[in-house]
Amino acid sequence: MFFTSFIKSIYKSFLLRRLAISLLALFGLSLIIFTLARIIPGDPARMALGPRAPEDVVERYREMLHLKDPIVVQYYYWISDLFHGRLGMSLVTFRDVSADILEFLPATLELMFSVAIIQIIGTIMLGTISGCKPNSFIDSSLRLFTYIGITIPAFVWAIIFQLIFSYWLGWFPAVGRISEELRVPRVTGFMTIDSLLAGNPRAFIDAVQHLVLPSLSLALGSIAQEARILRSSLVDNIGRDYVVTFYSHGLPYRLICFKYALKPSLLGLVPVMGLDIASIIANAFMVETIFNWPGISRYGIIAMLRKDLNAIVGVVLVVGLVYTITNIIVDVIVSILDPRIRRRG
Amino acid sequence: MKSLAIIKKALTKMQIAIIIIVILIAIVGGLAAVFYGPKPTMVTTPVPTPSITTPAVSTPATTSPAPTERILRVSFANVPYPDPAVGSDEASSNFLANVYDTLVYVTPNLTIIPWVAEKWDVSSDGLKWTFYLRKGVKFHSGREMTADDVYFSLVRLITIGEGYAYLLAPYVDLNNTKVIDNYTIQISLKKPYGAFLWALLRLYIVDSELVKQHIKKPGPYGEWGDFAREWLMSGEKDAGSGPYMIKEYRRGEAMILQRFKDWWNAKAFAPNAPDTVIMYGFTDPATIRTLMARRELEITDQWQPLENYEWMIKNIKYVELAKLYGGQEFYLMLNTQKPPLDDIHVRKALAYAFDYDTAIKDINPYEKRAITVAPSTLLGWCSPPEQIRYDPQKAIEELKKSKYWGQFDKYPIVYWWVAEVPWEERVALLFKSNVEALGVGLKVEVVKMPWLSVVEALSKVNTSPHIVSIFVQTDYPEVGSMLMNRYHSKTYGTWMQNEWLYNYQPKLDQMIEDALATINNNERYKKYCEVMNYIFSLYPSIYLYEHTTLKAYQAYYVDWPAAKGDAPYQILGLDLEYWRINVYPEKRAELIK
Repeated sequence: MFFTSFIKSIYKSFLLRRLAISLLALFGLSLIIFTLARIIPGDPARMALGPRAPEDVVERYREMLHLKDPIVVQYYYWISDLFHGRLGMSLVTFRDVSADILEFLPATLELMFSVAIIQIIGTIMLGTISGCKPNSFIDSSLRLFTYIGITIPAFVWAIIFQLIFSYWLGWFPAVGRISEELRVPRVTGFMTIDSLLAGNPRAFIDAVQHLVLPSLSLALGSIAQEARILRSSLVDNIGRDYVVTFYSHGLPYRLICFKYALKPSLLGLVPVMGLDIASIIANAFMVETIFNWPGISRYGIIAMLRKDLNAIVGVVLVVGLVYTITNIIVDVIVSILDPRIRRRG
Repeated sequence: MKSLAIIKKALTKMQIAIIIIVILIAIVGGLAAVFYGPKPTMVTTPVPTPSITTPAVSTPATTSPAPTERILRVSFANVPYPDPAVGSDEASSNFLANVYDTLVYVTPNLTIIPWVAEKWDVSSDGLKWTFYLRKGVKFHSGREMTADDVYFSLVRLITIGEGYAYLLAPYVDLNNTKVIDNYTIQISLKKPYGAFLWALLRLYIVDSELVKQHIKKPGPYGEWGDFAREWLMSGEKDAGSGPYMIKEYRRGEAMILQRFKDWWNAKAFAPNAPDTVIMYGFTDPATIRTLMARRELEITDQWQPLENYEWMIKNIKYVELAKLYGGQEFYLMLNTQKPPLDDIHVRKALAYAFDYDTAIKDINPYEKRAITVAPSTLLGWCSPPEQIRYDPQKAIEELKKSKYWGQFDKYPIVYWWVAEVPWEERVALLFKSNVEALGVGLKVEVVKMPWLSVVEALSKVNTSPHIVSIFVQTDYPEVGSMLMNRYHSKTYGTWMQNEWLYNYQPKLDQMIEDALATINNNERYKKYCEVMNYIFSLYPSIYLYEHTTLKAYQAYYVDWPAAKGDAPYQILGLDLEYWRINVYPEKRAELIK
């Protein structure tokens, strides 16, 4: 009963509002990026086809992309295609961008989810241990680890892990999503899920092994940063009056720390964590390149380098959508954690 | 002292001690890793002894293939485009050459030989070429190849107009091309084309029935719909007849090929030719290094930094460097419309002002010195009338003849180098220092420019810089291809030339076209020589490197003909004829034990 009414209240007053605002934001984003991509100098049709392609072929591409029409007209064509589930033709893959996104997005999402799991577990573990025992040996060691974790970018971690765990130790594969000799029929595009659906446990284990190094590379820096935030928040909350009250009533310190102080401490962390996880969709391109991970982040960078207009817009929209959905999820989580927000909303 | 005090205040003694201990451990650990860490042994003399041990029976963990499986893994800049009418980059050219057959083929010493066409004849006017196909050539689908397939492939390539269509479209007269019978096709040309047989190396013959089954309508090609482009580009299957076929296409990741046992020329398979070939689409140096060391990559791409090649051959046992000469040249392209480069004396002087030896020795030691308009490995090449060398004195003498003498400071020269190729900056700076050292007031401004901006700027003479340095590749191993790409007016406005030889162009175009229209090889080569020398006399470019393609490979268990010069590697994609490469998995197993 409580849960149903809770959901209803969220839905009515909050979710719909957020969705409407998000749609507007995405529309605005599409306008901006569409315009920006087209005002950058360069002939994308000629670039895609090469210098020796005959002019009539290049002209055909220019017509297909409506490059000679005013930008408003181009946008109109693009929006009408969008309502038919098409995002225009990619000049790199020579097929519809929506097909490319469907192909490459699951790979990055799979990475995102596994990073999220590692990040959440790692952050809460390290941040809580550190925050609950401030200035202890463990706290100092963990703080040093966080300094290192924050300063080293993800792609450097990727190279380090590849060196140690693939090259020296041979524990994990160096590239790809699955070994070449294994073939998994594509259903969702998530190699782990598809291998389970195919009833192939060996492929599942292989896919997980391939996920480990890229996920760790992306998660480590964020764990370091977020653990620090959680630690500071915990230390702050542990000094509060209500905690002192609990303590004076004889509640064990561990219970106070891990339950009563942790929950409010997560309030400041959740939005940061959400943004961090969402940012993987855009920022994972270096890690995807190092591990030959066929994700949308790498696809997006190639699109930008090759001035693939439709792919640029498509990828930016997907990134915007992921950020939007993540923000909504974060808001929901925060409202669960903090009842005051629910009542206010 | 103040900062020490602050630190003392902020941290407890224990914390400071911990930090110091951890830093010390990190330093010691790092040093230990450098000097004592597990790494492949140094190479002294890589002399592989053919000791074949009993292959391991169990399947190795994760990604290593079973010791008896012949697998060849190669990296490229990108995963190939599977459609033979679309791809023309290196990966696609290599894929197509191994998955599709052509009417003719080429030997390592650049002789055209019969392939699926067992013979041909040409009319006296050079306009009608009749090809007689072999019987019994099977596509991967099992269907036999006929002349209709050749005709369809030609129509498809020229209609789509992408990929290598530019080699055939200006010449082939489709309206008068006809299928005589099941095994005979007569291709008509609009004008004589001496390099026609070379162009046919890029006419990949598709299974027309299979392709027609997958045509989607409506499409951009009228009655042909989309010409099954979407299906072919999906990589689900190929429509070829070549020695390899698509096993799996992992878009953005790899193309996996398997051997086609019913290939019409199966007797030409090397005894230990790979059963599976994996074409990766990445070039990240750290990853390449790791895979080579783990023996999970057999042949690298050509885009590695020099330091990475050198590290690999030095630190990974039995990895050697293949040096493939030919087909590409690196030019400093001089814009002949921009002062002071519109003066031939200035252009000539700049050619003599450049220190070529340093450019090779200190910047690109594996490159060869280019001395004229086209690489010396091409058919029809001849020596230039003059040997240009570094001679500052001669450069100054030439500058004195220029109309800009005494006013060079008013005409700074802008030199662009391509940002994506870092060593080009060193070439540019060397040029700058050489020219400015002449002490005549010439100034060179070196500018780093992203490739896309270069391509855009070179589309118009006004936006083109004075000098830009670029590699240009030939389409086929004749000088005519480079002349066409570099100095014909058809490539004005493309990145292939920056010379803008308006003043000389009608004559130059006519000379190039006349040479290309000459059917007789010797006569054609003679004309190439005349054109080359004519261009040379205009000093429109500074010829710097004949490019050496470098690729590292596993020499102990891969026998790669091109590495020994035994392949037509001057032609893009033909350095890797998978069917001629021997792979020894049992030797690989020795290395990974």
